[in-house]
Formats: sequence, structure tokens, C-alpha cells
Amino acid sequence: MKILFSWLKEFIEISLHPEALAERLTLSGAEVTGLTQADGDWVFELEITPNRPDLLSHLGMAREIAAILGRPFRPTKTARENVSLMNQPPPSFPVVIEDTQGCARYVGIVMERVRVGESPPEMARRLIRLGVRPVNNVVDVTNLCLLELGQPLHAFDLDRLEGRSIRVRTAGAKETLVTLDGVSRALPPDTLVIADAKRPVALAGIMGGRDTEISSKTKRIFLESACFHPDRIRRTVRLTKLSSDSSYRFERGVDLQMVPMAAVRAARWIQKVAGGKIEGGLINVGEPSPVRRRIPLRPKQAQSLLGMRIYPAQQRRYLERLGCRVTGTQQGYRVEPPSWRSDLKIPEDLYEELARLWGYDRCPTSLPPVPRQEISSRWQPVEDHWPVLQTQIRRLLVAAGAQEIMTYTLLSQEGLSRCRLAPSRRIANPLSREQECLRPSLLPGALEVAARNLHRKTAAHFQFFELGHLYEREKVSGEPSALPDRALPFEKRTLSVLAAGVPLPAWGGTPKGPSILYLKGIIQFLCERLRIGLPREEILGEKEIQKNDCPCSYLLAPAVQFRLDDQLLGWTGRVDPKVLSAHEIPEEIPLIYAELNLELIIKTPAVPLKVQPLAKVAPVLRDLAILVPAEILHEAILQAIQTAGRPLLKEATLFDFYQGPQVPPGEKSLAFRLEFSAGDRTLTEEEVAAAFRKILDSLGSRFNASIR
Amino acid sequence: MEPLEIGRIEQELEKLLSDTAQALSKADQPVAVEEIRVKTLGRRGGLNQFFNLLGQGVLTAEEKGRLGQKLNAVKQKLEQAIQERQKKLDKTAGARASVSEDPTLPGILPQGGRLHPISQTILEILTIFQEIGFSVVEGFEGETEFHNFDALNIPPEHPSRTESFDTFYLAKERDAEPSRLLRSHTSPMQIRFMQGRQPPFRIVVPGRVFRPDAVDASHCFQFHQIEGLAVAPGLTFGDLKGVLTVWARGMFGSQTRLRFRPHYFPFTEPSAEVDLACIFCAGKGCRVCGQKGWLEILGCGTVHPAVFKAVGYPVGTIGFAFGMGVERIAMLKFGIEDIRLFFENDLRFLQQFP
Repeated sequence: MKILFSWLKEFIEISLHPEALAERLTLSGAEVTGLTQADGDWVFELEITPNRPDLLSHLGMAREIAAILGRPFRPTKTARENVSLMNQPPPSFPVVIEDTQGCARYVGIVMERVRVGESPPEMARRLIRLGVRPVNNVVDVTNLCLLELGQPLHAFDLDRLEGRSIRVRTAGAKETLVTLDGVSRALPPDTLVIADAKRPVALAGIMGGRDTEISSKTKRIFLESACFHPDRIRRTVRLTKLSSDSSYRFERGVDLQMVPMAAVRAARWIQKVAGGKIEGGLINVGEPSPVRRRIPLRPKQAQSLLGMRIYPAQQRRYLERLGCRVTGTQQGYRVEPPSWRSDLKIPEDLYEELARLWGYDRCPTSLPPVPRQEISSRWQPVEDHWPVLQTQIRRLLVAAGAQEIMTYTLLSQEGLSRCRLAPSRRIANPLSREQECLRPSLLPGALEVAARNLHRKTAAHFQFFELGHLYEREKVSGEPSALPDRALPFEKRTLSVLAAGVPLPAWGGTPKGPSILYLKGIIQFLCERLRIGLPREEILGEKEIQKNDCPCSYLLAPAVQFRLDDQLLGWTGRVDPKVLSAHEIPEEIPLIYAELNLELIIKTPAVPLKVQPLAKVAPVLRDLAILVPAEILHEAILQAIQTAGRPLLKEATLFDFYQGPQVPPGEKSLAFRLEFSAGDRTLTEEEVAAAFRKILDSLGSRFNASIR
Repeated sequence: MEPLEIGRIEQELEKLLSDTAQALSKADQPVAVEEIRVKTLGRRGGLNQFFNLLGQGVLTAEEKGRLGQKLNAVKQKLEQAIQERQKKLDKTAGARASVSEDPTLPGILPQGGRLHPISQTILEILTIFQEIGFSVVEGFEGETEFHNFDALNIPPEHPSRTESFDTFYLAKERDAEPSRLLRSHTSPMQIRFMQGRQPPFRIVVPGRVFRPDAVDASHCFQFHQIEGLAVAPGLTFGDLKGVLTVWARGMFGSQTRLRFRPHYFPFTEPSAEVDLACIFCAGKGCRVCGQKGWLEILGCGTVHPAVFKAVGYPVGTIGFAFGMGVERIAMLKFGIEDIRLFFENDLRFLQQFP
């Protein structure tokens, strides 16, 4: 909102420089966002919070400045004029408020023999400086009154009002109105309108109708000043997407007492610039004045909550400066706010008034003490395991060499289909189709980031991870509609890991692209460090991946699925090259993806750590290299070694794997490092040899393995 | 020609040996060793002079035999010394070419990952609050109207509730489904936390929030917030100022100044907006702060009694709350000019953060 310095000074003496005044206003709650000098005057650009509609005028700002600075405030003479006009009998012009909920008060003035024309130059200049386009002298006066007093007014061409009457009512079905901007509008149900005997002539509180607007031919006018219900105006603004300076003020609430004053002020002003005669007195319908509230204020309590030593007498003076009536004693005041401060309702509202007049910056700054509290048996510390756990998970992935990413929660349906994902949940009011679906997986975001980095050639290879919430398809039956800790039972905390590309030859680097084993390793590392036990692995073949309800149909078989205690933890695999090419990622780029359900990890308790005593004798190490038929899986061989090696074999680790020209066709070579130990006793050569032989025999008989 | 004295010749040979040994010990380049070789063993070298004596017939047969033996022994010694020196030099040169002896070769970097700048900023903010007694708790992104609005004293007709303006609502799949939304701030976690717990407590709540804003350099439909809430008897507005001042100094340096301005939020009363003295111009006014000298960084206030009422706390409960935007703080702290960089995840951006 714009305010002119020169206009303020009509109400109040200000000795402060405009820049100093701007600073004071900002620190007192009316933020000055701009201050410009033009033709010897200053224009203040202010941001008024929605609770202070009383500041949306020059009068209101002047009143506020007077309170802040502790200066006398000179209201205009309109109050006196009002009385004289109120005492005269109103003209015969029926005004009926049919919708009393939507309109608390309606005041009208009838004027005759008005000469519509251009406004005097100084009026036009003022409007332009405040960003309002001058129209004609009558309309300009209503606009200036709004800027001066904060009360929206509307002038109708009385001769175009059918039946010489006004009804404030709800729009009927299928009623339309051509508003001042020339747009024909279908009126939504429940819209509050001003109507004549036949039809709506204005969208109440928002905009007048074109049929009844003031034109150069207008001779008689009907001037409206009213108070409409904020909620009703707001709803219509939202439904019609039409707003104005008037609706802006009605949505926030106007001062009921200003309604008649503004009407009289405007009528007198019109007389001055457009001549004419006021016919009879004020037409006045509705509630004459608002219900007065009394707010109890305990000065001691205000002091202690604010931490400011504002003495009771000072508190009283501050409130009186704001226009409140204060009664009672220093132990307890009763405070009656002025009609324009409908935002003051409870003692805390008054505390803010005291604090801002005293100055937030003068409030002593302190740290609160740790409160003493009884630690009963029922007492529990504030603990949320998740913030600690997620930081731990993030750090582990960083240690594993992955870069954290953060992608969008809202995606397009096309983005999901590119990953063979079906939409789970949608947004009812999306900004665009690009952000229509809640993500059912972290893959689309991760692939988009991978594609972007590959296209921009930021790196030849990378490992990403993301911790994010995803939204599964809600199960219609069986699942509760809300869990105690969350509104959406289908919102799941999830981890994704993506590794892609082949490193370029690099100094000290290992030129190898990622494989499924790389991500398996990261998942094992994570589970081991979190002490939740090693997950069980299952191979997902072509058949499983192509099933309809497969959540990872974007993977290429064989993929691996992980389970913790029979519950599905997640999966990893190479992303199908067709999915990659849908993202314009070259098919030959190896891209491995894993997704883990963190809800399961959160629920799985960490195995308590019990430190094992250290063996006093170093273990005996033996390497075992065997040739086995190619179709035998590592898992089976390892199990056989572990079983046959009991009890001396402590550890068996694969360290080499080979398949190729060096071995006979149809076979592969595996090499294991075996670790034998008997705790505190030194093993004899014979014992080790016997154990080693037993393993070999077992492998020989089970897999037809031979030593290499 | 003077009669040759075999004894003198032998002395000269000894001298040649010792001179050459000395010269070799000083030779630190293969070229220098080669020069010495030419000088001593070469065709016109020192040793050949003596060999020439053998053929000049000036010596007796006995003498010839004795000198010949001597000369061969010296020649062998010289050859050996030169060869040794050459080997030693080659060895040093070879060693210098290998990795361990050239410390100017680039270091081999370990393959470490990185946290996203938003994670880093959240952790930094939380750590400071944890040091002054705040516990970290987290909520979920999906919320009910009650938690996001009603309980926070935001009535149904409040502009931030009307769907087309400020909040994403979930499309209903069944008519009976309750109205649910993506939280537009982290404040609903205040309600969830208080519903399950009695004061006193101090919490901070990080999390992702959503608002239907068109994406541009300074807006995005998703961003992160950190909410704070302290409830205890005797808390004051000054304590709120203190907590935030301590945080700001930890975050932006010990010289940081804050400014508290009255403001309006439905869920706090009194409310304040907090400005940070511009960290780029020290409050003098620059492009970043729009010549104002101040940067708006967070909102705060004393908890509105209606909020305590909504969670069933008794009348007279006192608390304060604050909320800040993580992206905004990271942008200010690191001089980032476009919020989209956070969600683009270009490695050239991400890898600038430690």
C-alpha cells in the first residue's frame, strides 16, 4: 500500500525526516518496503499485515504514527458533519438487507444535479501518485475517500437503478453481471450482490456493474458505504478471481463506525468538486455500532511474559494512545479497544501492542534456564530415534563414496511411465501437470539427475543417494486411515542409491564400472554398520520382474531382492536399458539402482553390541582355488565350505573369480581365503591340513570341484 | 730421455688411481663419469701413456713384465671404479623417476561422498540448537487440515487455507476420505508433539514443506523449514530473542546482529519477524539486501493461547516458537542466487560443498 507524506501531515505534525519515520514504522510493525521522493513529496510503500486493516488508509496510518510517536492526532471535521446529516430525515429510497449475515451495515446518500467531469488537477495528481487511475470527479472522490479513510465506497447512477431501491442479497441461480471491467460474469452461488428491484448491479464489496456506472450523462447518484462480511467477500474473490482495492479492505474487515462518516465525507467532497445537492439525510440500515469488547489486562503478567519492565501506568498510557478505553486498577485493567481495532481480542494481543510501542529492540535478550522438573517414574526424555538414525545413514553412504541428492516429491505422470511406474496418489490442485503425482519411487528423480549430469558431462561416473518420503498406493481395505504419527499411512521413508557410468582413466583410480555387486556391497555395509543383521537375498528373475504387481519392473533380470526377517527391505539391479533410453541415457552406460524401505530399518532394533574377546593366537591362513562347473552359484559353494570347515574354519572370503580362456569351457575358477583358528591354542600343521582336505573332499563330491 | 725409474712410474699410477677416485666421487652426472673414463682409459687417456712405454724398448724384459702386470691391475681397478660410480648414478636417477621419490606427483584422493548442501545446512542449524538444550524430532509431509491449520489458529476462511492459493491438497480416491494435504509449514509437528507430551520441553523440527508457487530463481513448490518450540513456565519474549541471537551468532559469526520487528502470524502473539544485519555489506546496504542493510530470515513469537487450547494444555501455558527456511539461509550463507540449483543436483554445484 502507498502512503503520501504530505497527506499524512494533514492529520498529524511530523518533525521526523521521512527516512527516520520509515525506520520507526518498520520497527513498530508497519513494514516500509520502499520510500521514494517525487515532486517534493515522499511516497511510502508499506506492507500491512492481514490483522491490521485499520492501517490501510492515510487516516489509519496517521493515527498509528501518532500512537507510536506519542503525538496528538487531529481527525478531520467529518465527525461533526456526520451529526448534522444524521439528524435529517432520509429520502424515500428503500434499502433492504436481505442477507444480514453478509452485510452488517449499509449506508446510502442520494445526490442530485451532480455535474460529472474531470477532477481538479491536484486530485488527479494525488491519485496517480498513489497508483490509481483518475476516472471522473465522482469516482475519484470515492477512491480518494478509500485512500484517506480506508472505507470503500461506490457511486451508482441512480437513474439507472430500476425501481429506485437497493437490496443486499445472495445471487440467484444463473444470474450474471457485467462488471466495470467489461467482463460478463456468471455469479457463483452464495455470492453477495447489490441489486436493484430487478437485477444485480454490483458484486458487493468487490466491483460495481457497468450498467449503473457513473458516466458523463449522470445527473443523480446513489452513494454506497457499507460493511460486508470478510469471509463472504474472500470466498467470492477466490471463486471469481476478481479483486480490487475495495475487496482487499473488506476481506480484512472495515471499521463499522467509519461507514457513515466516509459516506458523508464523500458526499461533501463531491459537492465541492461536482456540485449537486444532498437529498434528505443519511439512509442507514443495519447494526448501528459494533459490540464493544472488554479485555482484562494484568500488567504484572504482561511484564513477565514479555520480559520488559513496562510499568502499569506506562502500559495504560500506551493503550490509551492507541485509542483504547482503560478502566480498573494497576492490579487489573479492563481494556476496551477502539472500533477500528477488531484484531484486539485477548490479553496476548494487548501484550504485543505494549511490546511494539515500548520497542522490541529494547527488550532484554536472555537465554532461558533449563527448567527444573520432577523426574518421576513416568518421565521420559524427548527422543525421536529417526533424526539420529537418518544422519547415521547419510554419513555411512558418504563414507561409501556416494553423493547425496534431493529431488522433487511431485512428478508428472509421464515421468512415472518412463520408469514403468503407475501413479499412486495425485494432487487435487496441482500447479501444472509436471507436478501432478506424488512420487511412488525415488527412481524418476534419480534418473533425471543422472541424465542431467551425463548430458552436461559433469562426470563420467557417479554414485548418488537420496533419503526421501515416497507415497505408495493406498490399500483400500485393512490399512488404517491414519497412524498415530502420520496422516498418510502410505507415506514411506525410503533410501535410494544409484551408481552409473564407467570412470575415465584417472590418477590412482580403478577403471571399473559399477555392477549389481557394487550396490549389494553398499547395502551389506549399511546393514552391518547399523547392526540390523545381514539381509537375506533372493534372485528376481525375468518372471518375477514381469509380474503385474512387481514394484521394480524397471530393473533388468536378474536382480536381487533383500529381506529382513521375511519383510521386504528393497531391491537392487541394473536399470533396463529401455528405461534409460526413455531418459536419453545411452543404453550402454551401466546404471545400477537400489531402493530400500527405511520404515523397516527404523523398526528393526539394532543388535546390542557385545565385544568379543580378542584371540591370543594369530589364525592360520590358507588359499583355496578351485574349478567348478559354471552353473554352480557362489552362495552354494560358500555354504559347503563353511559347513565342511567346522569347527576350525572361522572365515572364508572370496578373493578371485575367473571365467574365460584360462579355464576349461563350462567351468569357472573361484579362489577363497580361509582362516583357521582354535581360539587360544596354536593349531598344528596336521590339524589345518585335515580341515583343508575335508573342505576339498566336500567340494569335490558335491560340485565335482577340482583344485586349481 | 731420462732413464725411467720404475718406482716413480708406480707412484704416478697410484696418484692416477687416487685422483680418479676423488674425481669420481664428485661426479654426480653420468656425463661427468664418461669424461673421467675418456681422460683415464681413453685412447689418449692417462693410462695409455704408460702402456706406450712398454713398446718403446726402454725397459728391460724384467721391468716390462713388472710394469705390465701393474698397468693391468690399475686398468682393472679404474674400470671397476668407473662402472660402480655409473651404476650408482643410474640407480639414483631411476629411483628419482619412480613414484615414491617424486612427491610433486598428484595425491591419490580417497573416494569420499558428500552430503547435499541442504542436509549440511540443516545439520549445522540443528547442532547449534541442540547445544542450547533443544531436542530434534521429525514429522511427516502428509498432514490433516486439523494439524496444518485448525489447531494452529488458522480458521477455515483464512487465505492460506483456500486451496488455490497456498496449499497442495491430495486428490481423494473415495468420497469418505478425509481431506488431506502436503504440509505448508513444519508447524503441524508442534501440534503432534504436544498432543503426546507435557511440558517443559524444547524441540526443533526439520522437514520438507510444500506451497503451490511457480518455480523461479527464488521460489520453488517444495523447500525445507526448521521449526522450533519451547514450552516451560516463566519463558519470556526476551528468552526467544536470546535463543535466536545465540543461534544466529553460531551460524553467521559472533559479530552477527539481529533485528526483531512486530509481525503477524495466526499461531503466535506477540509475533515478530527477524532480520539479519546484511552479512555481505555489514548493514551498509548492498545489492543482496536491496540497499536496506537487513535480510529477513525468520518468523517467531509467543505461542498463541488458542494453539495450547487445541492440544488441551491448561490456560496460562507459556511457550515460544520460530520457523526458518533452510534454502533461504543456505542461499544467504553461501551466496547462492538460484533456489533451483538445490534440486537440479548438478555435480558441479554439489561438489563445491565440503
